[in-house]
Amino acid sequence: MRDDLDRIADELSSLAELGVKKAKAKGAEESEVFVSNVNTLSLNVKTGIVAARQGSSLGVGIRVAIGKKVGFAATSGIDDTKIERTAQEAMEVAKIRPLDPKFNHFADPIKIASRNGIIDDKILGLSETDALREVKVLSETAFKLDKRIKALYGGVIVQKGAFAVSNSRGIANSAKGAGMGVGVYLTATDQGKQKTGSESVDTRMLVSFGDVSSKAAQRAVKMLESKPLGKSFRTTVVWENVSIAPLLQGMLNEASNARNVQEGKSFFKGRLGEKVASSILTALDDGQLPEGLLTFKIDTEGIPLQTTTLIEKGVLRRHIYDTYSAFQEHRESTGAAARNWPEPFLSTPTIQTSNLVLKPGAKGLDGLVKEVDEGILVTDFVMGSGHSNMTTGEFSVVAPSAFLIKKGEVKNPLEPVTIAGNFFSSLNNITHIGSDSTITGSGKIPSLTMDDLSVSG
Amino acid sequence: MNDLFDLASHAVKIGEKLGAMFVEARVDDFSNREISAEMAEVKDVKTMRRVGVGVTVYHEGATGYSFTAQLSKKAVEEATERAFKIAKASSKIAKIKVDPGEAKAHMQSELKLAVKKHPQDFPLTSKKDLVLRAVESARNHGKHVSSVTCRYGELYGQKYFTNSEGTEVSWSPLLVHLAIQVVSKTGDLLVDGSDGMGGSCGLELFDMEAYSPEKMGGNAGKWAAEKLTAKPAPAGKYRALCENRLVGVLAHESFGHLTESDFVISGMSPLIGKIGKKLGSKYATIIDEGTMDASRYYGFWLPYDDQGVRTAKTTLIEKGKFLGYLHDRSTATSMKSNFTGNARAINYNYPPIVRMKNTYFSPGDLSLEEALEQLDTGIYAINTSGGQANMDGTFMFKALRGYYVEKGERKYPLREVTLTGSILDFLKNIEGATKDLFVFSTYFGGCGKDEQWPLPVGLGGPQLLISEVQFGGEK
Repeated sequence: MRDDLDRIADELSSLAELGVKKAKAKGAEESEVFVSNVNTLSLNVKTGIVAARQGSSLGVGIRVAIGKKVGFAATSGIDDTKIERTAQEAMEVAKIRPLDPKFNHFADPIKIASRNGIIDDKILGLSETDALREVKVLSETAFKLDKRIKALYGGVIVQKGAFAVSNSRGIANSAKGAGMGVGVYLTATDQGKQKTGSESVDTRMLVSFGDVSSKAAQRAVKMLESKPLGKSFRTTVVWENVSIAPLLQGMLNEASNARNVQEGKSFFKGRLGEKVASSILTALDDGQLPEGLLTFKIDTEGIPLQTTTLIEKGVLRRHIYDTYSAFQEHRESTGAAARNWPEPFLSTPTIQTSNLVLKPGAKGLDGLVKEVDEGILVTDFVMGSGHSNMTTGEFSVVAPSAFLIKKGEVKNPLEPVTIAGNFFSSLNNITHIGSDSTITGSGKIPSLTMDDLSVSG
Repeated sequence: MNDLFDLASHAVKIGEKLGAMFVEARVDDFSNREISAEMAEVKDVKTMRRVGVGVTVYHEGATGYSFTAQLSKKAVEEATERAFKIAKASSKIAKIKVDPGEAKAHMQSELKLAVKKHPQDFPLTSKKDLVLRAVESARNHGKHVSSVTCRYGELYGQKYFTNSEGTEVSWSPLLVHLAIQVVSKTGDLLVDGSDGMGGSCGLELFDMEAYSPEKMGGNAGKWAAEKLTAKPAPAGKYRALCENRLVGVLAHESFGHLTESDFVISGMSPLIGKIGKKLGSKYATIIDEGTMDASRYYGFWLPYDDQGVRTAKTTLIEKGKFLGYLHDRSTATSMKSNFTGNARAINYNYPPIVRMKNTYFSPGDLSLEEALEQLDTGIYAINTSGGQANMDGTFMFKALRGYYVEKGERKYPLREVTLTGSILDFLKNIEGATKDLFVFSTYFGGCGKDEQWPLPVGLGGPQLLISEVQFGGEK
């Protein structure tokens, strides 16, 4: 199985090399060829209905440059003819477009030691029968646990793949990875009231998923006792790790993006070396975290993935760069060029954090709650993180699974509440960071406490 | 017939030979073009082509889906075998069996929307000009402009479908979209304004005064400038007037998703058992349809779904009374309903699942002036960056800007704001609707469900007057 992945990576590398040659033959002054092959096995259950999906998403994306004119073309599928035609299309785009005065050239090789994330043979060898066994456990556990659990969506997804990138400046490299995700979203119903709960595990190592479903069920059942908050006030919010992770990653990603900084649409513009957050906050873009879901040997321009300190004890230290933005400041890329999963060949690189890691504190979620005299605890997923304004930092999200906190204790669950504020101002109001960092698609993020947010419900 | 159709037919034949009860196969051949500019500099110019075959195999009550980007009979055979294998394994744990039901075979080839300026016939340079015209107008109308980002996107291509019943359908999807965002900055304050328009139409869309690059660029600049002095929306319960685009997201996110019948069969939707019940006021009429009058509305044109079913016009709720759900073949068969043509997939990598088409509130009879007057004091919430619904009946959707209105007059501009509540309360609180119906679609962004995002959908409605809604602004 491991050999299969290696073989795919090798094949992709030779195809990428071939693409560079073809682009040169077509008159490209510079070229960059990206090829990827991602195999997905996805099994899901909707209460008792089972649906399965499996296949490989593969293709090639080529950037060529004629002077300062860059063209991009991509196509699904990979073979010699497709690579040739894609190179030709990229050339045609480059010929007719206006020049980009800020383009200099594609990436130069950077020599830094880097490695792929953990690849577990047990995940590589997982069959559809093995995965279906997990699906069966997911769908049965919750219903057995509590008769108020009425409906469940669950799924297991296993992805493995590789990508390779070569360019006319000597970059020729590949990366590979494998991981799986198991998740449940369900409803609990009692006396006309319906509540939801969710739980998921995303991992590079095969672990036991036995309690995913029961945890989701417990979350939903707890909410059946909810009461309306009945007011709007400013208060302290304790965010569970999974609740805050998407908002935190979304906001820090946009603000740390060097291109956004250069283009005047980042809150962090002009603030390097300044205090932008509470002094207990240290945030890293860690592309080399072995267990991180987005850890690879190289980024999608072929630059080694690295660990970049974004914020250190509250002080803004660094932005993250791809090659294009690094040129504007005469520096090197930080290896932050990303393309969209699971068909990365279809997009040009954009700047993205890999695994956003927050330095954990000493106390667990219970410990954070104990410190709060009055406030709310937000658990599970929140609605609207992705609809927040990542440029200005304005957010207002709805939490279907929040609880009242009084004198350090979790009190009654609440009917959905809205939590609003400006994320970047709120960075200064982080009073506690938890010890319970958890791996998600956002990175490795712990629970945390923010003072002075608007809560209404 | 052509080579791509042959591949799909081959998948059906192979699947049946393996012993499948029913097979559906399709080929999606999509071409995408995108242009982006930052200020007056053109950044990415991209052209993408995505062609592949996808096959769904039904076996003993479970489905298996596989796909390939390799357009050969051998690759299609392998994909079909894989789909059969995973369907067979899945059937062993499937407690609720799916059945695609029966339909008459039908033939439809090369169905196309008639447009004046199909993007396929125009060079990238003309689209680049649209982008740069919008940028220039934004800079001219903005204040303290820190950044202007403009994007153009287009999608067109061919879809082919065939199944075990011998249905053969092919049609051409089409979508164009121009979107612009302006960021203004004074001191520590960053604000933004945006406008855009998209739908299944030709480039003539941008020749119209209201959707010209000049008009939309100017709007984005002006609205960002206006936000420099705007206040955060107040938190709490207010009367509200929701503008058309926001109403579209409301119809789609807050209500539409709950009517998707996979959520019903699985026992998840809060709308289960509510057919025939009065759920809203007399102004609550919501429709989902595939092919609106293209000369008047700009949604996403969808004549057939990804199970080869002709799309129906489905009234979900009529004058407050809840009438029906949205279906794919299996859910309709199981619930003994008509096929509605709502099985959709984002591309060949994914199987069709129950999704919406063009979902909108029906218009009423008020003018905007009358609606503002009737609002009296409250919040006029405008435009949207999307929304979400949860299966406890909670919805949230986001307005990008707005005004605080006192005695029918706009008093001061507001920054973006979230509206939230229980959908069943919300529908009862609709007090009136304006007479204008506006529908749009987007290339950038779209609907997300399960693993599949973004799916182009149409959204819209009139402006709706709401007696009370929870605003999640700042206190």
